[in-house]
Amino acid sequence: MPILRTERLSKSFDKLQVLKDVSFGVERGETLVILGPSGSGKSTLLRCLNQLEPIDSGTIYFEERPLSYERKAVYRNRRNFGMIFQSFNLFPQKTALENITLGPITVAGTARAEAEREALALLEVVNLQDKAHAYPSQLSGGQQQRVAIARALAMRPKVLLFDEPTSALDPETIGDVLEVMRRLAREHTTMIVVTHELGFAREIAERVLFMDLGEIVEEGPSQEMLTRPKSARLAAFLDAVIHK
Amino acid sequence: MTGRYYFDFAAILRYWPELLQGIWVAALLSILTFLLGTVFGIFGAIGRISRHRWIYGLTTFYVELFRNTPLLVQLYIMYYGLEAVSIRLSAFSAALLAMSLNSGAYETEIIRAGIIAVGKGQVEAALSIGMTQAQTLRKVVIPYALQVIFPPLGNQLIGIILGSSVASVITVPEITYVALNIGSRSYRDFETFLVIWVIYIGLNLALSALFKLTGRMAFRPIL
Amino acid sequence: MLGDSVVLQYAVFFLKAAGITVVLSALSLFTGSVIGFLLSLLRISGNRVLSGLTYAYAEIFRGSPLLVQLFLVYFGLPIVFHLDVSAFTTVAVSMILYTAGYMTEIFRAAIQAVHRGQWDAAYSIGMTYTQALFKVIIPQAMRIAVPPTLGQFISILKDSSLASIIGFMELTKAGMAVRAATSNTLLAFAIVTCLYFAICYSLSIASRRVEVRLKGA
Repeated sequence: MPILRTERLSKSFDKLQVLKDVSFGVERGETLVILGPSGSGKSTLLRCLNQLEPIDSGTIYFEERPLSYERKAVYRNRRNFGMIFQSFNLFPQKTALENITLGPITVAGTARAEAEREALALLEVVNLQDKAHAYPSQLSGGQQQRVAIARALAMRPKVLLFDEPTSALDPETIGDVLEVMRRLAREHTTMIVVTHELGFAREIAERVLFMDLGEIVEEGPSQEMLTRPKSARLAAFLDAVIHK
Repeated sequence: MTGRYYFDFAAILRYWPELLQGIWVAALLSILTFLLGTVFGIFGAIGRISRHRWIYGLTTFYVELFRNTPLLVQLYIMYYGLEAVSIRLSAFSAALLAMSLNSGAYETEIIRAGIIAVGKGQVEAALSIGMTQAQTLRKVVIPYALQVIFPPLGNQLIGIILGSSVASVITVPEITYVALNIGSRSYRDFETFLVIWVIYIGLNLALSALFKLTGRMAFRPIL
Repeated sequence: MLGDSVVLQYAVFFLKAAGITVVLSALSLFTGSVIGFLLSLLRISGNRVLSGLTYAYAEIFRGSPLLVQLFLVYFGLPIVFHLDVSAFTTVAVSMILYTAGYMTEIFRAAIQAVHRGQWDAAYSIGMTYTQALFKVIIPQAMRIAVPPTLGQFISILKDSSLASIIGFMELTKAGMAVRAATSNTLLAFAIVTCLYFAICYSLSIASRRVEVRLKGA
């Protein structure tokens, strides 16, 4: 039974339809990568999953229960997800440690001492123990993104959503972030990753979704899809990315 | 004083000719202030971007002096202060002088910002396709600068109109002065000021809308 | 010329008046900011009625002369509310209402200037609107609001001169009083001008330094 699935999700921004009848699912512990050109709707799809964006029609099922859009339910639902953003979105006036403990303390009501202990453990997972008291402005892009991952993990989410996590990073620091993601995938964290990194998709993802113009064009096991694309659009996309 | 207060607007609305006169004086004072202030502003802006230390220093002193002291004090100086050195100006002239120098200081900065906003890139682009300095000025710099300074200058004019109420203190017969006059004659100061409050708010809203509309129409192609 | 002790007396008189100007302005800024902040929260709430009312408040109090508002309070309080109030109260009430109109716009703009992604990040760790607003957005908005608030303080210092018109003793009235007492118009005005300039200009310089410091961090 998929831990998360959508049924005929549709959404428009003004007159532009960005998601057209999107239906897919992700199994517990699976790493799913969503590929696609800009404007294909993949980021929007992700933001609909944790209800940052409302949908026009369709249903999202979490653990086979449809998501409610009632305000209090939305706040609760979001705690099942963790989101990592392309522009990190760390809280600038808080240290790395404070960024990670803010959620547990304010939202989950955890005691400060316990929250800090867990935050330090998470910083170890992402290899930034010595940066606990650094401010975002003192960290490199890759370090900020790793703190962001720790911040998301602090809420013990059941599904992690990655929105182009490495697109804003220098090539040198991408590796560090991908290493953390690899580790999470190996530990069977359920992850949905929107990315351009084909290498990551090939190596870590079990399944890949290819989206274009708001629809899922092709989906399948990653190895197969990326080496033997069935649709012309995916073949063209892979061609363009590889030859960049 | 006990009992409810009975509002009596009719009593003061029969003074409408005088109110209209007051609006006319305020409008005249404001428009002249704006025009004169713009002249000062153009010279001031040129001075503020000048590389000659004396010119830069003098204009900076002018701007800082008039922006860091109250308009009321400036009015008193032009009316009572000049009188003390035997320069007797009429109330209107003194107000015009003080308000235009005051506005000029603010307009200097607005115009200066407009000139700077054009940026070297546009000028270099124009020159590199063979335009002369004069053509560049006319076809590239000035149109763009005008577009940048239009909204703040519009706000400046509205600010002048609202500020003109202070001129009442040196007996310029604009709206507030007329109101004080009517109020004391009718013993209905509160109603009088409620009415002129609405008049000022209405002027503000009407002019803001007018400027927005004009700006949109005049600068449509450039945006 | 005047004997030393007389000069000293006048000096003390002017400095006290300048002090009153600063205190009155600071009081107006503080109280006006509190009211303006609360109003700005209403303005950014989704509620269209509250948002519209707050917008109307700002437009009305920013879109009419302070002098007119001053006279309205001066004539209105005793007549409508049957309150016999001092010049200070009249001036304070009027300036607080006026300042609140400006501060609400300053805070609204500052809140809306905080990067959208901060809301996303706060929501994605499960925060409610209120938690996100108070724990993440407002702290950042406050920093953004500092330069315009300082600018507003300088404006208030100058606007406080209008209090002299209804007889309140602040710096401008002090100048007029000394002018009447000594018949030395030029000296009196020169001193008043210099004192206003000293206070406002130094604040202006300080404000520019603060702005640079805030941009850097």
